[in-house]
Amino acid sequence: MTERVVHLQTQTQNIHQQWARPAALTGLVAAGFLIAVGFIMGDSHLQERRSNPLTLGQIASLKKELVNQPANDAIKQQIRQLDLDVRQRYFHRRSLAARGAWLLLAGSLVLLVAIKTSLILTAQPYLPNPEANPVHQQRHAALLVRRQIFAAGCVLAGALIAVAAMPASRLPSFSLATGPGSPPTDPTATANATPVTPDQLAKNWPAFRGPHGTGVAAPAEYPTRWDAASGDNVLWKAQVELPGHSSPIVWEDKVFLTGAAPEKRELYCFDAATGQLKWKQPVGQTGNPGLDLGEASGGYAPNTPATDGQRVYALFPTGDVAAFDLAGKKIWAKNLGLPKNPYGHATSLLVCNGLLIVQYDQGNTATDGNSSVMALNAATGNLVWQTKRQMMASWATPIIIQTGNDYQLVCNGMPYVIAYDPKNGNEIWRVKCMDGEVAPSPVFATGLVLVCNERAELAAIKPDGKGDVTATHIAWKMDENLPDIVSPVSNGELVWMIKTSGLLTCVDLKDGKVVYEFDFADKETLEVKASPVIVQNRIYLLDLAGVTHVLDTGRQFKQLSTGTVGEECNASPAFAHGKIYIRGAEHLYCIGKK
Amino acid sequence: MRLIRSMVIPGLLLLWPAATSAVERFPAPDFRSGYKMPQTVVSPVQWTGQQWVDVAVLGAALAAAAWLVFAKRSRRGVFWLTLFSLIYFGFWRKGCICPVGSIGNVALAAGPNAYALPWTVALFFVIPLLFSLFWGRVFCAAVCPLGAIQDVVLLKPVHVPPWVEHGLGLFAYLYLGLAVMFAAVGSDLIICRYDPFVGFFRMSAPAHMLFLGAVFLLTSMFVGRTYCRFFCPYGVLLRLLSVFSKRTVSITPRDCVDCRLCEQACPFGAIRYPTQKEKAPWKQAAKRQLVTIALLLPFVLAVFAAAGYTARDALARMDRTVLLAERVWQEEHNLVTGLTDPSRAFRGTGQTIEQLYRQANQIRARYSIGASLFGAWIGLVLWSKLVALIVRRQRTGYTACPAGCVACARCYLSCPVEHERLAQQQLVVA
Repeated sequence: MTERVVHLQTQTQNIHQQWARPAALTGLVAAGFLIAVGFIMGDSHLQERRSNPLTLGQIASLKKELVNQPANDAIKQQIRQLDLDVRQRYFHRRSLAARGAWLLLAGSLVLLVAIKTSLILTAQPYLPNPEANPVHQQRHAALLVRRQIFAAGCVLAGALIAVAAMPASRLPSFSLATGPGSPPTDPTATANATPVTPDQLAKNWPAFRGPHGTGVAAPAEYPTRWDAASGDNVLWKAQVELPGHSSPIVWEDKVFLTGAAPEKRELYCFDAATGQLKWKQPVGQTGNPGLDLGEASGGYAPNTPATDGQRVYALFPTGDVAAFDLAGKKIWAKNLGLPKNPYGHATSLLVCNGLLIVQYDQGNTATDGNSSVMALNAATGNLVWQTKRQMMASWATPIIIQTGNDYQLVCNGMPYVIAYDPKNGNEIWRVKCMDGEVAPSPVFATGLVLVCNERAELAAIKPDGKGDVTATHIAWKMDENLPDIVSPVSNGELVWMIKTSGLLTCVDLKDGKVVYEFDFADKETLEVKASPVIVQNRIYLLDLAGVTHVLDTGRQFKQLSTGTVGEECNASPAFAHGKIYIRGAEHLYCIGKK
Repeated sequence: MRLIRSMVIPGLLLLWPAATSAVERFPAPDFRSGYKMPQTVVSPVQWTGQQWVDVAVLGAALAAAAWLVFAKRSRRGVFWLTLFSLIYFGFWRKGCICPVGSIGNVALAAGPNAYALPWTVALFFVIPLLFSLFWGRVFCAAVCPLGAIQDVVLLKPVHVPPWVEHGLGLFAYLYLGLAVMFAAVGSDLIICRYDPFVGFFRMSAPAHMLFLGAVFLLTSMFVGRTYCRFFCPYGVLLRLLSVFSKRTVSITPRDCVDCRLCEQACPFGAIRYPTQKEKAPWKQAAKRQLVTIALLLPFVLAVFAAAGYTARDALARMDRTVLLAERVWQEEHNLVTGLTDPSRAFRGTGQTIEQLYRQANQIRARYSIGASLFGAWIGLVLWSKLVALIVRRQRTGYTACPAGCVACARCYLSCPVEHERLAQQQLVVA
């Protein structure tokens, strides 16, 4: 019986050994197969990387070439062919990878089964070591583990603290330093500002509607008649590459202007003496980030740039804002986020004591919570403060006014006119008097803030209040012939407003009584979108057809003369150094006495 | 007629979304080259009942595993069930839904997030845990596709020393804590994101994940079920519940004869050796140690919670919103040049920076709590480990550790008593 058992065992062992070798060999073959498949897949992947037109940049360079030679059909064909090649390669690679994966899976299965079989067939039964004492081993292990757990605890706690202690691991404080009472996040902003003398400010036209944003120019000898067709009093005329409704600004010998197409935005600098383009600079990324502006919009460049004599700043409805030195070198650039604005954000920039002020009203309702006014460090672009505004989108440009020794930043919006402390964005006062889509900018005359808008009223506000002063600080208000786009202008005695349709209304600044009305539409079809400018005792009113109506500032309507540039004008003119700069649909005109 | 109507109308309703979604949003370009646009193909509507079928299959597979392990004591049966689970839950259902990944869904639903936990996912999470209260880790034995793929590649297991086993086993607790924290604050489902085997099931994954999976599989050829033993967060829950399991795996069907033949039978190091009766002085020392450690618990929890709290910012960086806010903040403060793809995309959305900062700050506030709890969890785990190591249980024979045993039934065949039982069984059958 025993012999038979031994014989059977020996026979079984022999059979096992017989099958173990083929199993091991099969495993080896499978391993070789796996290595070969892996090598082929790896090589194919590397080859793909070495010759792919996408990774080699062939398509990109051809596209660049096409920009320079847009009519070259051969390049287009080459791009198409390469594009097709790339896609075919992609799908070929996918198919190859899928097939390779299945082969690898199958090969792995064979390898596993073969090796496992071989191991099972050659396995020796386990025989415990009689000298080993498992109880002692376990005790020793438990002691080791206890020490290990203690060490692991120290290491883990230490690691957590070490990670936290590393300076790079600390997240910054995500704060815009908004709202009342919050200090400026960049206190160097105002400290580094180079002061501009009042004389410099008055002579130049550094922002929308001039030095104080009120449309009042410093006295100088400005022409009252001109004609672009005959060249009478037209000093020069320069082509503007990209269109825009933004107004020109002037600093000494330079005129700045923005232009934009849906895909690109540019800032131009012209020589004020000759009209020669000194430089142009792109602003923001090329391409349309999603702006879809209809015909009712102010176009892709409605925001007037601003300058402080050191740098010039440009803003576009895409939220792109940038600063350049006067030689055209970019100082900083950033994007404020695409504002939600049905006609495109059109509020212009304002520089004040080292701060670049941006009124960023947006949204369809006052409760959207997206509107704000912010101040950026003009030198760096860093945010100094930002204050939320419960306002819907508006298109008015803010102004800085002086009350005693203090300054106020006055922002017109729907439904509030709000004054802020320009140093920190703290609200000073507010008046609820606006309605509709607010576009006319506020003005300041003889101690009164004047705001108006169609469907609302013309209100004269005393700016010495605190909090909501709607009930207490409106000196007077009237609600006739209110403008829809054009900002009012005042000489300190009278206020003029004009509707887009050409209905001009003169109001007494003392009590808000209408002094006279004059409807240009009675004489001719006329539309006005540019805001008027007062120089001494004359009002310059530029209409859409490019005709400037020069009016007397007396208490009766009196037209003194006209000047014509002969092309559509949406932008407000700039007045500096005795020259008037008018932006037409395609050209920039310099008007001056010859 | 009514029957036909009752079948046709729901059928049409099912087809309706597919038909409407097939309409092009934009008109096709007018190709002059003669190129013909391929017809738009829409994926068929997914049958939601499939998930309930998966739940039913899960329940049936668990029941079968319990029967095979405890009633039949059949390693072969367990092996075939393992293969079935690998094919069905792994390659067929592509590793989803999976009880391991469902931890993230449950934590996400438990946190302050607008997430409703689907019933099927909840059941996938709960059913294996309930089974573990009665039959131990039968889910790991033959139902989990992650365990299955590692089990089938096991070739020549090496014996991992206990101190290595315990030390590496801590990673699973850490991973569970991190996974629950990240999911609860709404940042990420890291268990699913870093599932090392799902790429094999789907035949597609990022290269680094395939590499990670390959490393786990290669390691599992020699160190059995590497992921399950040292990293699986669901395994942690199953371990904890299996300690209280009504039935546990018994190596021998009857009394242990101390033959020591099963010492090396478990490739996962789950066999516990018999102990000697402890002497009185040692017991006194152990009691003192236990009391000391018990008194230390509040201190340990406080220290680790504080350590976690200090690391909250580093942990919060796992959140994409926080990362984006940090990048935008750096851009706003000119600390970096240029824009990244996410920051450019953000700036194109029209959302204000303040809104982004507000969201990021909300998430950071959640991390203050989450990181503290995570720290406390680490402290609790380490403290519990120490307590478990001090408490010595008396064992008279070789037994399977209820927490570590994955009920694979491999050890049964190493026991001579089991062979005797099988022989008797065969005699009865004969």
